[in-house]
Amino acid sequence: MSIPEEREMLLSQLVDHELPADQASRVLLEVLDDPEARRRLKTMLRLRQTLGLWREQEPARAIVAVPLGESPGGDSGPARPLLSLAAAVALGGVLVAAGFYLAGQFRKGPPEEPIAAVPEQPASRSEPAAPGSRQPAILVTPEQRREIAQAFALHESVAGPLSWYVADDSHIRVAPASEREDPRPPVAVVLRLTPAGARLGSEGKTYVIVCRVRDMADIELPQTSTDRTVRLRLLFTEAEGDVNLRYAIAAVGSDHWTGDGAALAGRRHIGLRQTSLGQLALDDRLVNVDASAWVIRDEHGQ
Amino acid sequence: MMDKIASAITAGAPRMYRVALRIMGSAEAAQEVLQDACVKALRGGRGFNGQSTPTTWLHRITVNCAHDHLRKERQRMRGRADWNGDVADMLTTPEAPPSERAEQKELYHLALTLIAALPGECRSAFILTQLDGYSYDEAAAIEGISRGTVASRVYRARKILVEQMDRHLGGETP
Repeated sequence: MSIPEEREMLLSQLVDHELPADQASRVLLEVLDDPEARRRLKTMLRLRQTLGLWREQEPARAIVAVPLGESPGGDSGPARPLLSLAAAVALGGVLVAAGFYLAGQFRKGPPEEPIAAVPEQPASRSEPAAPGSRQPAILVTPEQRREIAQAFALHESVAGPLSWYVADDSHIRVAPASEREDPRPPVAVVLRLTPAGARLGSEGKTYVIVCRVRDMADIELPQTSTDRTVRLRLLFTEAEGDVNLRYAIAAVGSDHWTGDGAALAGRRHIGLRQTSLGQLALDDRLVNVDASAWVIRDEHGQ
Repeated sequence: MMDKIASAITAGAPRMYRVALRIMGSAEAAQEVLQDACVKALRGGRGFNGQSTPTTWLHRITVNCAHDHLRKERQRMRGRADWNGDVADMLTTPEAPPSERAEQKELYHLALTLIAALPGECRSAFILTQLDGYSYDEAAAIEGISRGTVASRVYRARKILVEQMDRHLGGETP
């Protein structure tokens, strides 16, 4: 005994959830009264279930895409990071001081230029060090945290609530916060780009960034003498004292669409101790990308 | 525009990975293909003219990247072998008892072998919807056919598979 092909085809679509709800209900009602159709439906469901684990396969490493060619700040346009330029100029000294003192001796040259993507490591609470890799060594001190918090508070007192700011030894970029009654807590980040093999803190480039918990921040690192632009997309969340970061880092040349774009993305539990975000291949060497981060609470008042 | 494309890539990455995994046959190679495909999609974002949907556009980029990898690395034979080896191992439920895992593995071997032997048109529609996880509408856009044709091809593939698995398992359907 067989069931009509037309009904069997409806069963096939039912199994795939491709029937409108009302039609699915009608087909199910008919199936309940037809033993052969019930058996057929069960067989189809089991076949679909057999392949279900395949459909659940996901990449081991998270992918967060960054729009390479657009100005960070999204819909508010290229003028947005410049809105608080006057305030940035006025307070630049404070911010810059907060920005670069952490690096200790970092060079004043341009940042390194990532040109090729290297897979990031899976999110992990404890990062096992790869053979030959550097051990995390720099820990942000309470004094450093307080100075960054004070600089950020001072900046906001002049420019109003900020979505993010980023500073290196000679540049500052800021973006005003979107209109919201209660700005989310600020989170500070110290981001380091260090040539592989270099001693921590002795070479490379350090950036001080402040953005907001649970607000995606699209940040363009301050321009340097190179023609390459480095963009970040950062999203911090906080749960029970743990700070989690989802990130993507991309670099493009002056020709954004035919140049050697780079992408690095992943998730990390992150804290005051420096954590590796991954490694980027450069022209002739590798650059380690590391970060420390913490939620700014009352440090500036301490 | 680029924000939308970046969002589409982020949202579509798991499915792009599955497409790459199916073609490459190993998780490591699929991850490489995924990364390449994401970078290519971002670089070529302005070439996306909206004539296709982001889903079909990303699917094509992923498939092209996977084939490029296969060509470069001459892994086609290895990829085929992995379909019946590493991937089937990966798809068993780790927490299941050994006997159940062995049964799952056997079912996957059988299902994948039978899927590979399906008539071309049916196989493509079935793989897109049952392995890659595309909806009928998305599969129709990728294949350039109507939704009804997709439904028909999936049905025919399913009917063949169910009957053949019945036969192989002695009347015990999967």
